[in-house]
Amino acid sequence: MIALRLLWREFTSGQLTLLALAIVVSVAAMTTTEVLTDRIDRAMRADAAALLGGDLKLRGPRPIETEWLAQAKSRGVLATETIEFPSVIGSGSTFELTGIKIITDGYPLKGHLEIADSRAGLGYPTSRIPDPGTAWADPQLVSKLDIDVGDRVSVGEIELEISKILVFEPDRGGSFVSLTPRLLMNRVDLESSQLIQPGSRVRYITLFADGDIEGFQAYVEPKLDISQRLRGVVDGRPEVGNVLTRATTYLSLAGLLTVLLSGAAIATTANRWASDHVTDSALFRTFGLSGRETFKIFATELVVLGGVASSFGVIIGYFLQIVLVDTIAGLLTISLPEPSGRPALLGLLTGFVTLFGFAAPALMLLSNVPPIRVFKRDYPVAVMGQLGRYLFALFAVGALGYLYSNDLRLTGWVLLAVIILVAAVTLIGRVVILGLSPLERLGPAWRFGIQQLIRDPASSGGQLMAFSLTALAVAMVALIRFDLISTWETQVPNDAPNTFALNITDQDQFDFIQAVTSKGGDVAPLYPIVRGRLEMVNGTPLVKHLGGMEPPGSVRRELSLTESGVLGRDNFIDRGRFFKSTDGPGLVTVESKLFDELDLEIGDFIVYTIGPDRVSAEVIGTRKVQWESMLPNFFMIFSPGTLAPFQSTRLTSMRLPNPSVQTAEISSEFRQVTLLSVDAILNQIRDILGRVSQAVSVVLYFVLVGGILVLAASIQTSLPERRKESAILRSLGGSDNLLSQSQWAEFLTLGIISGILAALGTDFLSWFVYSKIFNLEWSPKWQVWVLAPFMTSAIVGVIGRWSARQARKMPPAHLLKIADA
Amino acid sequence: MSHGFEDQTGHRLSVLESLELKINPGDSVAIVGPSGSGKSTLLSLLAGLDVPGSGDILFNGETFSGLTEDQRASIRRGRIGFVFQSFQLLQGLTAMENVMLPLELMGLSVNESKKRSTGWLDRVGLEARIHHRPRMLSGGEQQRVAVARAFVNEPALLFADEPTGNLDRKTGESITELLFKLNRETGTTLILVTHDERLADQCRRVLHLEDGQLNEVAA
Repeated sequence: MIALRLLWREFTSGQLTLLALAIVVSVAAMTTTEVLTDRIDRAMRADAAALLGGDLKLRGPRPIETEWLAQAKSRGVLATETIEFPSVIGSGSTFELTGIKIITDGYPLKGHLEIADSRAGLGYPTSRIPDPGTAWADPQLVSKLDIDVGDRVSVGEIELEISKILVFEPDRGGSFVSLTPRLLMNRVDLESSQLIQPGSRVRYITLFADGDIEGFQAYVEPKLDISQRLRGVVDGRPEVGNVLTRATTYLSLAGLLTVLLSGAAIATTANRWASDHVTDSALFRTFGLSGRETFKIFATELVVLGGVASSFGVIIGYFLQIVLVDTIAGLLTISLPEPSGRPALLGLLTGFVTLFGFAAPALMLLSNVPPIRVFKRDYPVAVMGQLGRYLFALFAVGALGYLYSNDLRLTGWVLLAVIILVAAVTLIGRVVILGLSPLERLGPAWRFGIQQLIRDPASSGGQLMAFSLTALAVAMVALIRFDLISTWETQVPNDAPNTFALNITDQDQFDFIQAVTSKGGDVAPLYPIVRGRLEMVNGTPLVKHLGGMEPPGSVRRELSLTESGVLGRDNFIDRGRFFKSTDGPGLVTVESKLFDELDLEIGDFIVYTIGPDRVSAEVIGTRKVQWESMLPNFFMIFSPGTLAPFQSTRLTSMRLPNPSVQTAEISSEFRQVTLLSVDAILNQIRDILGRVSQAVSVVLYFVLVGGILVLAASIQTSLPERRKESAILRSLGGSDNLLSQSQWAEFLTLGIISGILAALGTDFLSWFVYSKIFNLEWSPKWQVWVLAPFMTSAIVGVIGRWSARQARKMPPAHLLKIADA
Repeated sequence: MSHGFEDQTGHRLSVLESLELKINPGDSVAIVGPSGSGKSTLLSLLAGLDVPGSGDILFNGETFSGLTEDQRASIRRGRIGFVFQSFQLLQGLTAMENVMLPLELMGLSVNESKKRSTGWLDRVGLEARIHHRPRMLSGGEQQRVAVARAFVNEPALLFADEPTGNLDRKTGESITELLFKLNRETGTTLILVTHDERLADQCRRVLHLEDGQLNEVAA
């Protein structure tokens, strides 16, 4: 109880304000970032889930096991089953092979269908599904069959009325391979249509959403057989999956760096708290208290302080993020889900772990102060070595970092960068500080300012550490934000193609290009398409080559193969090489991921069967493909001439200024050409990118504000020494102007050195994070080297002078008294 | 007893050599000597804050030698008081809270501690300043708080290290007067280290420490 009374007395005297403030600010910053990133992350995933139709998608050749559905229900997970199969639809004497999709009420679980009332009508979202006896046809199908709303089509044994035009279907295949026209019909009509017969190629797709979706996924995954495939938002939609993964990693990184910022603030204030209590501890021993009793008093103080301050931090953090969300609501078009309780727990834990990680060495020191210290201030106290203290702190930051980011690799590398930075600051920083003496010649203000830094290199080093870590954190978050957004902007440019065209015959290709250009459209290169199935690798049948494993889905069926001597602008060779003009036929480049899945090596020979024939080619390179570019892309590209003996049609993509009208026009002009509009999906992806970019920016601004708070806190901790210095200088006749200028000199110098060290750390850390985590191209950025020192010195200078003004404004007599206390 | 330590070069420095000293209950003893002669070291050994290199120190028949710091602390508890040159008040606590501290650490209730502390602050003439924090008190007032704190648990033995060292002459005299008045009233044994001859003169015994040797100069 004595500990609590002491704590309360110390608190009311203002002695603990700084430490308490540091904990409150840090925990608030972390909670806000965590709540915000948690909400943004969930919102982004929800947005992306709308593109999948749910959070999870299970595909298989037979209906889902009823036991799994029961499991889903018991976990509060919603489920809806759809059935897809190809069938021929007729209208009068015209027939068309169509992808039929059978749906039930509740479909889709996420996102929505878009329909139009007529062929030329505008699309609008709906939560309904076709009524029994009716069906919705997509523009391709109505164009092929030359029908409109109100017409009837024969579907198996029954006739259905086309009641709407299907404009957008959220979970339509992400790779745009579902190129056949689409008909959506109600499950009620399935039986009477007798569409499904033994031997029909039927795919059963069950969508799941909400509830304990992770638990359900964990339950189902081990039970899947090779014919079944479970996909989530990230792997189910590669166009947004990459963006999501990067954005989530960015948010994790921001959280991790906030932990670092807070750690720096708490470390500074906790050290100060401990050094303030060294003599108190010795005094307690003279009163007859044992080391354990002394430790208990200080540990209880710290635990209670940590608990109370962290709780305040969590409350403020929640409040702040509400204010933040309100403020940015106009900016941010994501509707955020309600905050969850996890960040609160995490915030509390963070307060404790950071406090103890950084204060434990100080606490141990306090239990070991020999009582003789009351007589001899210079009596040595057994303190944990610098290395020990750093290891302790590093362990705390590491544990928290992992907790926040859930990413061991990211945490590991950030910690490594921090170790390097800490070592650099310790070594370079001190040398630089001691080498500052020539600056003293700039005048008396500079002399006093620089002397202040040189006189106590340990204290200046500590501040330098706090400033550079803060600058590093903010610089990293800013740098990655700018690069991610510019990458995303180029990913789906405004002029990205919005329509795919297939089945263009050789003789039609020039007329086709002309038709599109005359409508103001822009056509990508035309690629010959031949369908083939991968048969052998180096003379060994594929399954045997894979050691009996099932081959990946993309090669299990026939694949669209092409040949080209030109590498698309959205393809990058990452292993081997692309074709040269001197290369003959018989070479192939493979999409990078498939190359790995097929366990191929450069130099391997693969054999494809195309109809009754076979074609063999040597693998000479792998391509990283930007699937989201909306340009035609292929898993296999052969060297020119390889596919020449086979009959082919051509495929391309193009940008049409007014796709809904112009696709119909082109379709009627080139009846055999299949047109597929991806405008709706493109807009949705662009929308997601825009929102994610905004979210990422908001987090940056928040980290920036957090950084400024941490700087202010660490400057505050040095105030007592500053007061003393100021009092002495002023009592010796130093003018206010001189003091003010010397503080400028001191803080500007500290800021510039911190900024330079932070730039060094940022360059190193960003190199790693870009190349290993974000898969972004890294190049050293001169802007970091200019902006980091400039911004850090400006911010440190302004905050420093503002904080230290109190030390300047007090009468020297008063200051001396406080300083002596 | 003898005591010494190694300097930074590993060279052994002898501070106290074969000292023998007996202090009786109720005595007042001044230890004087030039700066660096080891006065404070002797004081800390006598108080059990450190142990001698060789020899032994007995307090009421209990030996300090061979005991851990925690065991020596339990001997000190409630029986030994201190007054320091630099007061050593907790800056975050008020005058009264500083005086209450040893009582609270001994386990007395807050009310009882308050009652006794107020009484002692009265006796040192600080009744009007009990809620002031150290930084709002003058040096003399701070030392009075320290004296009240030293006497509050009525220790058998009181150690004072240069109690007037940080005070001006007049304030020093008033603190000296206070110390001896309380010493007489409570019967506490008083051992003090000082440079101040007038303070030393008020003690029943004066011991001079120089070159590791202790000589009784007055009794």
